[in-house]
Amino acid sequence: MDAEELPADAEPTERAAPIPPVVAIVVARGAAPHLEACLAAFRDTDYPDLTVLVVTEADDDLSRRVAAVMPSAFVRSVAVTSRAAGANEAIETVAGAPFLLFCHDDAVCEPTAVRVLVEEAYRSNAAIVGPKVVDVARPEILREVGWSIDRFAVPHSDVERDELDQEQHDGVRDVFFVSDTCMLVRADLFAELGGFDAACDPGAADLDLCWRARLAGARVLIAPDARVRHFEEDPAGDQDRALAQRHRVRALLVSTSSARLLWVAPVAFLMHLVEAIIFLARRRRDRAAILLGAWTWNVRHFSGVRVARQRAQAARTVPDREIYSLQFRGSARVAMFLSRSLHAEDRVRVISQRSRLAADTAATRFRSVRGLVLLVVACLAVIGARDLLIGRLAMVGQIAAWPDVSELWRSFTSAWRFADLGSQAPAPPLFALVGAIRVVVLGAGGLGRGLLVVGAIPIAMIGAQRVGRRIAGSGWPGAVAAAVYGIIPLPRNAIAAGRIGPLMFYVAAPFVLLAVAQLSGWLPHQWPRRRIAVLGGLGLAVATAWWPLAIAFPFVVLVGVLVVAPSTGDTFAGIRRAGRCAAVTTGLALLVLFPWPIAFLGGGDRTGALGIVFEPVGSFGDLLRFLTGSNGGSIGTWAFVVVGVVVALVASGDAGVWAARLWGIALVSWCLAALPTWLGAPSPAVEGILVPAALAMAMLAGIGVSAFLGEIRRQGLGWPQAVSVIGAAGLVVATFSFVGDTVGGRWHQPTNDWKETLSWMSSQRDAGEFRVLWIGAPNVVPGDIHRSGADGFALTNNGPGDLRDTLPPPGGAGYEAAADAVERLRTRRTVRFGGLVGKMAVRYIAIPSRVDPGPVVESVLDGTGSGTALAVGLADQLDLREIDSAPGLRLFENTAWIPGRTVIPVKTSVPGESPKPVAGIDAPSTPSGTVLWSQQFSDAWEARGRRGDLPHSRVEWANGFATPGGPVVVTFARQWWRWPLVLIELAIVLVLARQVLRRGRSARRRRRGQGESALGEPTSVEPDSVSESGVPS
Amino acid sequence: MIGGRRSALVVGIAAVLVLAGVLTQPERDPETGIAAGPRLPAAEQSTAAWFCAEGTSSPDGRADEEIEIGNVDTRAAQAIVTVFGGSEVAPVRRKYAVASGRVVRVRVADIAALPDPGVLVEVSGGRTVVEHRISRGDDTALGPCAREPASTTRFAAGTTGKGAELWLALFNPFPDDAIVDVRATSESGIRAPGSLQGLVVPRFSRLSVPMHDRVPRVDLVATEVTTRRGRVVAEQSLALDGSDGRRGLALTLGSEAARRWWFPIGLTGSGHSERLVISNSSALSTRVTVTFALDAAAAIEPQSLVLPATSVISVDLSRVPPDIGFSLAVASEVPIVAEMVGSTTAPQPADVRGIAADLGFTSGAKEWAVVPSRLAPGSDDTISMVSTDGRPHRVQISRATDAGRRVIARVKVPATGRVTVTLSRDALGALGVNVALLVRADGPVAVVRESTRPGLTRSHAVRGSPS
Repeated sequence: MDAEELPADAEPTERAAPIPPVVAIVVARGAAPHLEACLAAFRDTDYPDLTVLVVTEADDDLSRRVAAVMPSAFVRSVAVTSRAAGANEAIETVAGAPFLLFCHDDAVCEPTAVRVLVEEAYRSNAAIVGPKVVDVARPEILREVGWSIDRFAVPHSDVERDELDQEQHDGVRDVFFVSDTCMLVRADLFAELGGFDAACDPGAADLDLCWRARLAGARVLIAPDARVRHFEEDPAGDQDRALAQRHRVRALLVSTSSARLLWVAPVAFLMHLVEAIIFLARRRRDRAAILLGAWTWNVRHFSGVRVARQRAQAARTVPDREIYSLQFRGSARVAMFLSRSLHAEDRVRVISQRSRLAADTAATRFRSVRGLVLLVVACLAVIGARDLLIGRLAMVGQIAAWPDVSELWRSFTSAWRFADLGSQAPAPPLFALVGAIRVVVLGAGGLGRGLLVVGAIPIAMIGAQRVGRRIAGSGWPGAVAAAVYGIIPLPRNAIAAGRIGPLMFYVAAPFVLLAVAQLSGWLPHQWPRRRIAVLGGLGLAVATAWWPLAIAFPFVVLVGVLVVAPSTGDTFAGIRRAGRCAAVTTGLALLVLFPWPIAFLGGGDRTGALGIVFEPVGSFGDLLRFLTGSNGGSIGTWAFVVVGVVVALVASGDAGVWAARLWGIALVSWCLAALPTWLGAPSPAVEGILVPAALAMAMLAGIGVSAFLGEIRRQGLGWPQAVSVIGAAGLVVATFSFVGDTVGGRWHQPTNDWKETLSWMSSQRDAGEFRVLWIGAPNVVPGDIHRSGADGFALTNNGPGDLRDTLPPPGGAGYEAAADAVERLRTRRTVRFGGLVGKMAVRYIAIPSRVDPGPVVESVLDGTGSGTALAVGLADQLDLREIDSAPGLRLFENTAWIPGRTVIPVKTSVPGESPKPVAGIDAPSTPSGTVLWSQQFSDAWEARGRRGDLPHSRVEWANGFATPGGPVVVTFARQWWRWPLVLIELAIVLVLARQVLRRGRSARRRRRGQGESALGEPTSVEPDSVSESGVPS
Repeated sequence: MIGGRRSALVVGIAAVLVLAGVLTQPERDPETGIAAGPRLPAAEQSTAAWFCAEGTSSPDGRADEEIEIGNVDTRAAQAIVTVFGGSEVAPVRRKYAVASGRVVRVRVADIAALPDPGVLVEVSGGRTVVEHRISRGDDTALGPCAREPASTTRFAAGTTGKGAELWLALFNPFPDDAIVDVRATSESGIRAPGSLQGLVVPRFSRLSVPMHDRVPRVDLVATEVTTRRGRVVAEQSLALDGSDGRRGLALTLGSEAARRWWFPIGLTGSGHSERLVISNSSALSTRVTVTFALDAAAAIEPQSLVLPATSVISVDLSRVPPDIGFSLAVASEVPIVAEMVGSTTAPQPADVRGIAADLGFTSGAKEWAVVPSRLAPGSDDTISMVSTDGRPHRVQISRATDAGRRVIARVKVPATGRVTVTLSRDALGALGVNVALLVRADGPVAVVRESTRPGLTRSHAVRGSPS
């Protein structure tokens, strides 16, 4: 609209407002049957400054059609190989317009659409804005309202097929990409990005453009008030589907960061492979070929992918973790399959039928009462932890957040541990283990943690049942052993306190015990000894990876058997053989964990590294009842030990021998748990120490059932049976306690945690790298802690911490400096604690008085929210500023904090004043001075400046580099040796896994062969596996 | 398993369980009382901070302040004195060396002249105690500085009657702002003026609150300072102009409430008077028993009274015979605050007249530091001690020198009653004015120093190791 056309009474300000010109680019391909409708819509638009450019092949007929509908439109005749290539003509052709509107030739914009898009672009400072796309014939049917993608570049939309538009999706919001059916793009960004990637067209050109725009820091929005009608295209043929698939893979390879691509690409390929196998099984070879062909095509065109990737990554200003929030969690393919398939009526019917069949099968299997009992206990165990799976598992105790797989892999392969104040030590295999779990659950770390915790009790029950049926006999004894192992309050209290290491040990212990017992000849076995040893070693390795002290479990068993040897009749030769077996199992576990165990040989706080830091449980009665927390507080928990005593009284024969051995194991376990109290020393997590006793009591219960049934048959009812009934009644009461604990759905685990409360800290990294020092009672400080007198302390990096901060190595000078500082605070030997820990980059000091946020009982804590000594020490600190925090936590900011990567300048602008540290060493303006690298001193740290290597010196416990100014790059020179070790670690695991799998296959083949030859006779026991004791399985 | 072995097994199991149970008796935490008041740094404590709240350093100030740093150790000590004038004013720092057994006196005005100075003294090296003295005309008051801030600080014996100036000094030397609430308990109940609620004490600053303006014309004012946020050191000074017959300056470092209080010094008659004020800020009334021990071979009955909830009273001491020194102890069912204000008036000579506030002792200790030992040449200085556990104790008073520790006096503190040691110039030597003393006992005692001429001052000794 020209100014002259404005009404006379229009406000001058309105007339003065500039209208940004928009150029609509319509790429007309083929016959373009709906071009007239498309252009007519532009002709009728209410946007005052819209120019239309139709890009088409040289075609006089089409030019005439354009002129007939919209004479003002420009027509550019070029060789249009693809829609994207045609659209890219705008870069050369159009100048001066701030916005470009790309539109399909079959899209019909409503009159207000262009105006709404432009307004929203300005209002939200968006670079790309898309409209709501509806059907032409039935405008009430939604087609698109923006798209998301999963991590594998598979598009996902919340809009279902033929979904009615009831304004349910209306609302301006960020989306990952908008389709090129109609999209408004800022012209300068379009030019900067080099336009569409023609190699991604068709199928992913729009996705690729928006992804790259995101990487460059631009916003992509959907503005549903702008509506565009779209003629529905013909269903995609195989050819189009194949092109789209390969182009999506290309977009994935181009735009994903290098670190993330390390795991995303293999997982994406794996998923496609699995999907292809499913298609092959369904005789859909074409679809399988499309999936796999997408990868082979990209491999063949890798040079093009590489060039595009370099260009995209060069423009990157935003890390992947910020983009990640806009992506669909999990797999869009799987979600699509579930939503499209499971909701179909016939599918539901089929599933219903299958469910009935499965239920019938299960009913057959569990028609016995004992099966039902086991099922009920296992279900209760899951129900009791339901909120941990559905809701959120609180990061209390040693439960830590799991970083990305790429971060875990980087930490695992790093020769330097950044936990605490850093040290040169091998990374815990736990990082690799958790990384693998994260891959399996498609990156959903919370789901992985929840499954681990919720599944712990049922899996442990399976293990206990396997051991129980061999020790006590199949049927009821095995079932009771499993049920008792499940209802013992130990794992529930471990979950409540966040002792995930002992919980994993609880899961693995039955399997390890079975392996040791079978290898020692105490139990018969069918598998080859080597396979049993490897399986036992792997189980022990997994437990040890979570809780280092689990490595001693085979020797606890050995010592337990040894102390009762006079009553069991175990010979010296037998015990020596058991010792060898325990050593083999332990050795294999250490081999699997190699070289991590070597770290424990170094100097420093070994007890802290091993987790021997907690306050001991003062009451031996509580230890006997496994009462280590708030779960299982009823009198019925005495039943476990009562049953054990009864079994020792009544069991005879081989069962009596096993009862004695189990009592020996239990006594050793209980004495180890009580030992810290006797010595007045810190204790390991008592939930872990008591696992052997819990397992022994469960097995004794199973033996008790076996003995009870046997005695009834032989002698009828007598005093042993009467006592057994009392014990059984106690177990029932203990079961009530177990059932009662299920009510909350969390096993009394807190619903909140300090890490969530302090998550804001992670955004404070802009001011420089920092650490958080946690101090308090050892039982409330989260993470793996060290002791300093009565207090525990832990250091976390750049926030409240995650898995990378766990299992710190023993440490060295850095640990000693930190421990000394905390000791000085506790004993009031400093009034400038901030200065002491400032060089450690400690910016925040957190003093929790509870494991989770909540009110504090004043009388207990002297009104300070912390222990008295610590509180008094904190009261007169001159360089700590207290920050408001949730109840139960005192949080201080250190005013003497020095960022972790910083330069202490040589000179200062204020005479007489101490130079102030300058955070960051990367900038060209980095001043001259001393680079303070806040990691424990190691001569392997090297720094390079503009003029080469910088002189390295020790600054107390840390590293210093004298810099003349300019950017500095610090590297660890001994990273090279970590790679061969990682390869060795992987090779060891692979060899052992192969051993397990190969032996398993061959055993199955052999059994099948034997079964066929014997015409269905029971499988015989291998000659080399008959136990010496002759106990029947 | 045969029967004999089974029996052995069961007996063995039972024996191990019983033995383990016996060995694993939960330990009871020893009941440790938290001693109120400042504490001498422990021998291994390399650094300590002292906070001196009250006082002024400007020429027209109401209470000219002097810091006294005494080293009771045989090692030399270093002190850094920092004077804060507010968050907008850069603090001024000075370093001092304190020789073994010596006292260094620093006039705050020589460092920075400020109307509301807050003084932080950081000491390192030898065990050092920091006191401060405020002067107003001819009147002087002294007392130890605080070692740490307190969440609640209580004072009992204030007055805002005619001719009285009651100043509350709130010092925040920390990097975070503090918010405090102040309330006063009088004979007529609690007074909490809005102007005293939510007082902001900015970081690195000192705030002076004129209680005589906020709670005017009240004979008994027990003040309570509660920190809502941040950390604050509170101190109170009382200046009387003689309108009620008493004239002088007193200084009190607040205390926590406690059930037991000891006062080693008391004297009435012939121009001497004592005023024992007890404040009960709790919501429960309590029975209070005051026990006296006379210096003479006589005894008087304990005095019992009921103290209502949230009230303050002045105890009638008329049953104490005149001109006989005494000590007293106060016991209560609920935590209270007790404070005694002594005064010397005519017909005593003019150079010994004055007032002295003494917030009693809540517990005893085996070690006490007395600094400074003497206020001025020509003054009469005494140290009075009482036993706090009802047993006699042997006490040794010594001073540190470069060559070691020199014993000045050895006395025996009776089970009841007090012992008073007069510090003579002969005993202290030529450096008597600037000598720091260490009092060591073989049991818990409470130690207070009194000085007359000029004026009257009393100050708590600073406790050392816990009893």
